[in-house]
Amino acid sequence: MGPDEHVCVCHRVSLRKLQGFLAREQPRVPSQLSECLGAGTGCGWCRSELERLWTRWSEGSEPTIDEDWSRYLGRREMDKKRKNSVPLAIANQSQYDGSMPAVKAPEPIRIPLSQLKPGQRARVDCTTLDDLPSGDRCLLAAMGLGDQCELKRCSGHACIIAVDRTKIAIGPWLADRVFVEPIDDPTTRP
Amino acid sequence: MTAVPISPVTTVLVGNPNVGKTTLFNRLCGLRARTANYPGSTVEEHLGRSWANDGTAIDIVDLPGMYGLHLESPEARVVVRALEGDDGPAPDVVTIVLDATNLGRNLQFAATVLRRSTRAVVALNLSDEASRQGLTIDTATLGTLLRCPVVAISARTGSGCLDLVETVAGTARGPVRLRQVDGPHAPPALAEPGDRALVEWAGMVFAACGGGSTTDSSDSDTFAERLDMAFTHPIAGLAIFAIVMAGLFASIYWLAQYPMEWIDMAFGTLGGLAHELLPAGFLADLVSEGVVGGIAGTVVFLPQICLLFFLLALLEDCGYLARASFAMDRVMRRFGLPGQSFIPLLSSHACALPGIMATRLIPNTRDRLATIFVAPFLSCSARVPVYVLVISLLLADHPLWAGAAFVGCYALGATAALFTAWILGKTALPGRAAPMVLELPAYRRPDLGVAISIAASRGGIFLRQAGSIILAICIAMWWLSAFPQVGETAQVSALRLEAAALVQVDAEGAAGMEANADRLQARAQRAGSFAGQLGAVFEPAFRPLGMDREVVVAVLSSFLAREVFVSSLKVLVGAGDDSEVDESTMAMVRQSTRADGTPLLDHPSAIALLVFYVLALQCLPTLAVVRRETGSWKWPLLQFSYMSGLAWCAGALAYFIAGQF
Repeated sequence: MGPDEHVCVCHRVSLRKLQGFLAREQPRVPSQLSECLGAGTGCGWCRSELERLWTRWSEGSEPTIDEDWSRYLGRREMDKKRKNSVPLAIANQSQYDGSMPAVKAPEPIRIPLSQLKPGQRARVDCTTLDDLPSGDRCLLAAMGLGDQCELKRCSGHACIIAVDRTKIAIGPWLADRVFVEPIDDPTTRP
Repeated sequence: MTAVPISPVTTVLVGNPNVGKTTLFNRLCGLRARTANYPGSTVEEHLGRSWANDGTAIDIVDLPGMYGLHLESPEARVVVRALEGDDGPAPDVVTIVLDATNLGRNLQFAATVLRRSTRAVVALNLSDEASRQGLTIDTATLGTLLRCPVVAISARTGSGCLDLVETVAGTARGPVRLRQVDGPHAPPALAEPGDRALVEWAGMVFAACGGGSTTDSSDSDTFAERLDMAFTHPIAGLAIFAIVMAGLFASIYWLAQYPMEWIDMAFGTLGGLAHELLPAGFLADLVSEGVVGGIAGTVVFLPQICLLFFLLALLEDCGYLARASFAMDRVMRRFGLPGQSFIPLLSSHACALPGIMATRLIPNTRDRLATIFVAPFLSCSARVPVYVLVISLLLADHPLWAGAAFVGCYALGATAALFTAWILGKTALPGRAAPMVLELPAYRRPDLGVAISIAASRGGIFLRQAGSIILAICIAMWWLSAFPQVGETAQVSALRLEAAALVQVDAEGAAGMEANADRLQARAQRAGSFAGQLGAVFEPAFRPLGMDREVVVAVLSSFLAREVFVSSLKVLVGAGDDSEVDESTMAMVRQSTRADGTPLLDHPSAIALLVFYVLALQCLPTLAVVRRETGSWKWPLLQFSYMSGLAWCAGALAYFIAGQF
């Protein structure tokens, strides 16, 4: 995983930021990592990763994640699918074991566009686009992917989304980096 | 009506990509520009003229389509400069073309343009399509809200277009519009397309003019979605693309052969006629061999160029090309090229010049340079004459194999391009291609009129080039090969004397001798002329490619423009051989022999020649355009030496391998 890729996908906390936090703040317990931009307080999935990172660091080795980021995201998605009968934030809350602070309110789940299922609807959160190069961000917004706009992923292998009456095809690199909040997930519907 | 001289009104067409701006331009100005289904494919300005009822001339400039004036893209800069009048007088009226079926986004764009314009007209294109979808838009209300005239049109059918012209003329003469800065319906200041405030404003305007709720295209268009799925599938999409391209080139090859034959015949007759009508001597030779012969070798490929552009325009117009370039992104990216480079590279198959100019739509500088560098590798239409000539020499009686060889040439060029792009990514231009975002236009029935106009305009450009640079080179080549005139050699004189003595006894034998003498004389002329001397100097360099002096002369002449090769070769082998003036080029070259009686181009050397022409950069205009687009001589010089070197090595290798069999 590269230094600029996100360990905490919900709050977009990059590995670099966490490494800087560890070096600077010298946290005594892993839960202190949540003070680094709220890492681990979204869906909670990354807590085990954060703990592993802290353990490596406390043992004196380099705090890195060897896994490729796309594989990391895939694993996250798989874990979520396994728990898809219960909304994730709540599921994680109930498993809270005291090592991390409690989640105050169910945070919206944000996933990369590439992880959106065909036919699924989602809403773009403009703040999640901040990490993109500004040219790409402005272009996406002007093409119709503005703040809070609703979109639907079309079926098919490629990442094609429908916004209003426009169809936009997005390459894999960008689709991993544009985060959206799914509106209604057919698999979580009772 | 009295003819009052009225100064022409100037207007520019601006709008999002895929709103039918260029179709409208073609409709208004009598078919002159290209339709853009890919953002920015009209990156060049297109100028045309239309007339209002009162005789006012309206000069129309078609600007590139783009998503926002604030974006840092070449198209946005072009549009802003045009609106501000940086490169000349500002337009009298700005015509904003909107897609009535997608007003939500289009209105946001309109608001940002209206902020800058004192005289503007909104053309609501695709209004027929909108009403089919159950959208009724009240143009009067929309006009009041936007504070400018709104005309509902359909560029495809032409309805409302006359109205639009009148409105533009009227607006130019009318009062300046008041820009709206406050009030309940004023668009938010400073907001750009995509900003929350502007999105809400657009929603409000859309609701106010009776737009109502649109039926979601994604729910109703399952068929289109299935097509998208197939066209962008990583395997099926590429397979479909390969089939489409194979069909495209096959149909060009088959359909073009008939008009090509006619053109060939017509020029043959013309050359013979010139020879008969003009007094024998210098002028007759110049016209029949230098001018007619030279131009015929080039013009004969006009049908292929027109067909290629016609078919590409149809594919672009129906919405397939955007899908194909998205599917190709996956492949191109492996070689360090973005999917957007696919269209410029595809255009390079017609000619590298439009291809290189089309790279302006690639936003990233690194990606642009990489695409420009490899674009001349793709087999342009100027190479087609050489391919046709050499392949028909090699495989005259095997049309299927000839077709395969043709495809092989294109494949070799494409492979060299991708390989070079990959090398570039590792060396001169490190990094990877910028991410891909592309709007997929709706599937539409292609407009035949637009496609025909594109084919015609591309053909016109080609003919103009044929009439200027190529003609000049042809005349120069003819002069080089005709002078200095070599006197009759002793062998020829002896033959002629013998023939004269024999003519009473055996007329047929004498004629044969005379013809033989002519051939010998022509060969002596070829060897003694300036061209022959030049060829002799460079011959050693081309010996590893198995090229004879005459071929070397033709190759040298084509270093400035490769399409000259065939006509140079024709002029060279045809010089002084009166009896064969109206024979076709192919037959002439096929019958030509070297001094020792072996064919001018045997199999190994023909293959080497083919490989050389696939890979070499022999085009002066390409070098000039690359210089202009990259801003320095570094890139064109690097490109020229790299491609020539690669072509020579590959040609020598091909000659060596082919010589083993």
